[in-house]
Amino acid sequence: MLYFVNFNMPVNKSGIEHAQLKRMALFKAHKVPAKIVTRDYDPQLHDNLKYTDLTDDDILNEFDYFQDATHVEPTEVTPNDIKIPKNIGDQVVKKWVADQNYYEYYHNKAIFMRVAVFPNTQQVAAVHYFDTLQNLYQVDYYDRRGFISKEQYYTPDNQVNMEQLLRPDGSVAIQQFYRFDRSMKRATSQFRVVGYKGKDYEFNTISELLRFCLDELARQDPQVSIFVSDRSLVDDWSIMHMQEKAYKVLHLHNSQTNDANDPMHSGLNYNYELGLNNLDKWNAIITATKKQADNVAARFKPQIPIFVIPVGVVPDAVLTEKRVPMNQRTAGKVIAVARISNEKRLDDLVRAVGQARESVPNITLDIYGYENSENDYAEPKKVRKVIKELGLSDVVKLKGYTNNLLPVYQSAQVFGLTSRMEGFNLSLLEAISHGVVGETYDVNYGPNSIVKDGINGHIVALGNWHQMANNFVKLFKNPDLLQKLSDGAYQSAEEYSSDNIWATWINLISDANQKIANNR
Amino acid sequence: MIYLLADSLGEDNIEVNNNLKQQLRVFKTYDKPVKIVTRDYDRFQSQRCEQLGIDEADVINLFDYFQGTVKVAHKKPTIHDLPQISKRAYEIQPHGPNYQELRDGGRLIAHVQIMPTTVGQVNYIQYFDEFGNISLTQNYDWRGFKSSEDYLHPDGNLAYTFWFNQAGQRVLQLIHMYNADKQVVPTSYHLENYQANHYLFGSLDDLFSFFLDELIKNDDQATLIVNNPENLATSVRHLTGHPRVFLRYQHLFDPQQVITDSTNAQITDTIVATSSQATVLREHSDQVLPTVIADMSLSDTELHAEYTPIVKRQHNDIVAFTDFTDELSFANILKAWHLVRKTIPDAKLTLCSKPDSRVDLVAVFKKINAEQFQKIVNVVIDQNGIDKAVSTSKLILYLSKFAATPTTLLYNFKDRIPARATLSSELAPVISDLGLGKPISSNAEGIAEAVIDLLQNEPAQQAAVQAIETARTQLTIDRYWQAWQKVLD
Repeated sequence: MLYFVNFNMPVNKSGIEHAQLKRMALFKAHKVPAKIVTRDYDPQLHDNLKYTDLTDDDILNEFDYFQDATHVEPTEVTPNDIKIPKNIGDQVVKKWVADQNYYEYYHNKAIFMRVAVFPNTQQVAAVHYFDTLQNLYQVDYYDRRGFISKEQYYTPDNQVNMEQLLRPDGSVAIQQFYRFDRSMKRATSQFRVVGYKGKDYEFNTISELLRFCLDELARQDPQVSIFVSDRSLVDDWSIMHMQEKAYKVLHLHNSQTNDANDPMHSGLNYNYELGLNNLDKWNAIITATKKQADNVAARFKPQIPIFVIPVGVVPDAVLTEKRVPMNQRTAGKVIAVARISNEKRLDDLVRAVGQARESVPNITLDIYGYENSENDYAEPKKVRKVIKELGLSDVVKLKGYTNNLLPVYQSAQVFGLTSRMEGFNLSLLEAISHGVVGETYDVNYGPNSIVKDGINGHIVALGNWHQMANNFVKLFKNPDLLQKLSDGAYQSAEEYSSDNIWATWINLISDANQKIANNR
Repeated sequence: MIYLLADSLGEDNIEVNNNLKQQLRVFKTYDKPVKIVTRDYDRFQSQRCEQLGIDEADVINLFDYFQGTVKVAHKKPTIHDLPQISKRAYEIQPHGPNYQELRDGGRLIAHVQIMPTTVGQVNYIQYFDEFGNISLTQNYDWRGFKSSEDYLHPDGNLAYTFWFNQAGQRVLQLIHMYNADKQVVPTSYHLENYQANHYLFGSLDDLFSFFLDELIKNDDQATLIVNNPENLATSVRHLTGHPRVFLRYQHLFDPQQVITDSTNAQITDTIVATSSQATVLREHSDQVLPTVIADMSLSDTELHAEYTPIVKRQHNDIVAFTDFTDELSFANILKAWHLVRKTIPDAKLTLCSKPDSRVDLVAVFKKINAEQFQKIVNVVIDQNGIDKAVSTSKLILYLSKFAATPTTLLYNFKDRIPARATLSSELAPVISDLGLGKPISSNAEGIAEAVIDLLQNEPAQQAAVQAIETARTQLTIDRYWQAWQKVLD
């Protein structure tokens, strides 16, 4: 069994989650057992699967695992199902607080309970309990499937003190404590697994807990267990420190160095620093491009194989879909699909569009992606400021995150990418697979492999948005060139066909079987 | 059913425990359905029953009731027997007879405290995080099951206590949070899934009321005899049901409070231990006409039990029941002992008292040491210590007002030991009425004179013993039953 380890599978997904989803589709198509393993607690995880093609069989959350809640039939729990203490039940006043999405319950004018519901439903999300002096002391969080999955207990100063993760039958599966550490900061101080196969276990950190969970999965797996670290900062320690025999794979989803364009000398990307400095604890590395594999091999000289497995898979249905010619798309439409964060440098793209507009008045730019909240949304604010300064409010639109990009790809003409670095960039691959022409900085890794200069788009020097603007003008003034590059885009996507990608995975699985199964 | 209510059978409740034993015996002897009902959480209650000679089947505790553990088979699990402890993951390190540790590569995972007087039986397990903070404490019942868990706030204050049933399901929680003065105090009890419903209580008193109502809801003959009215009157005043309720006071610490408690419509009658207490109440309120019952009876076995006659008691050992909060009385007895020792140089004294959190025992010993009485005056505050001291004593003194109850006099009657009470003692009129001796002066000289007179005057000793013998004939369980029957009928 292959296990692809990550932190979660949220509604708003980053490239790593999208890569996992594509990979899962590939494995399911080839009927090779695989699961996405998530580390973090999320009461809406299984409900959020409706935004993917995953089923409960395809995903395993570590808390669900210990809570015996990997497969639970959803049931409806409404506020009326929440028990009101019988001895005060006759004198209870219930109020709906619409802007907070909860009901408040009062006895003798004192609040004793608050029931929050999931948005636009009457399904209970949480129940807040207050003591007789109206201190909040406990919050019960409900899993979207209709059972209490977490009891959260509070301190008198309204901080979380202790949490109990419950099984659907109400028994305690995990306890999590928050205490002062040695620097007197309140932090998670302990996880206790309770009654797991009849035993209790103590862990200092969530990484130790995840390590235990992964070991248990490996121990019970009749096949060779292959663990792929898809989000190193979350899972690499746990995988590296597993005690059960397993094939461990470090997946580089992004550049391994801070300056992706100086791979031999730049400092290491903190996401991969621990993993790369412990290559003896891994069995293999995955990179998305050959260029990255070559750079890693040159600098680290690993004694383990590096598999080049593009994170994107272009489904057969896409490869054979009816092509949309450029003259049937929105003329002058440039798109970007990226979260609005510093490393994406979307202000450069806005500037390029602004400059091109002087020659191409109908050029427009739509940016799809969620806004990074770091530093109080500094980057989205910066992008908006540039849009305003250049008078592009009617030209450049921040469209937010969307799960439905197909119509976007089928109506756009050019995909712009101005990142400082990339690990692959799935969106770019999706775009070219739908015939969108790629305009990208010469950035490691992915964009300068996916885009082939003069075949399916152009590669411009890093930071040279003036050149990118000139390219926009050249493309939009020359419909034949635009169509030629679009045809090239459709064609180049075949490199990422399901069969081609699967063949690379087969290589990795064969290596695992050879090295682990034979040593068992 | 007759329910004998007490807050607990704890070691601190020496007087109440003795009264309960008296009451339980008389009602059982006369085939009256009877149970002792205790309020406080005490995971050692079954051990206390053993120590007190009470059949644990005769006792119902509030917490046991909701935990479904009123009747539980006894086990004595050691840490090695507990299935949840992974012996594969953790090393169990022994540290002598009192505790063990669970360690993981040297890091302390848990401290395992062993039950006193047992070989390895788990008392409690305290789990620690990597910073040495206590994460939780699992408390085991004397009968050998995990009964409760305590959780702390980060500042070390008790945060929550969870109680469990035998299946390990939580049935009750107690929450400690801020009160209006920002002090962490118990703020609410949550009874969970009791007969498929939740209940919320603001205090233990409210929970106890609910418990009593549940206990008696199908019992139209329910009679509650409240042995700790000081602590339990509030609960019985708020009962939904209407049992007969008798407030049984040992002492009149606050006559006005007794009157307040007694005048509630729920209260059938008030019972006091002595006629002088009844007189005091009558003086304070013409509404209160309390009944007097001294919980003082001897079974046939006790009446005919072997004992050491006073003439065969070798040493001049004296026991004195006192109340260390009564500083004057304490000073007087120490002063008196100097006087006694001048005449009887080998006279030794054991000061007996009930445990009292207000008393600083270190200060008590300092005062004794200051008088150079380290080897002459002893202090005991536990039942075993009292029993042992009484067994060699030639005289029992009752010194201060709240030092003892009539039940305490049973020490005198069982072993035929003369009794003397100062004018300060609540027992002085009882002793006088029983013909055991007139009250003595409360000052040092008066006490010394009474002690010397009895120890040195053999005829006086014999007369005192004879008076005891005579009084014993009035202490049959039949007479005691008649006293209760008069009240209950």
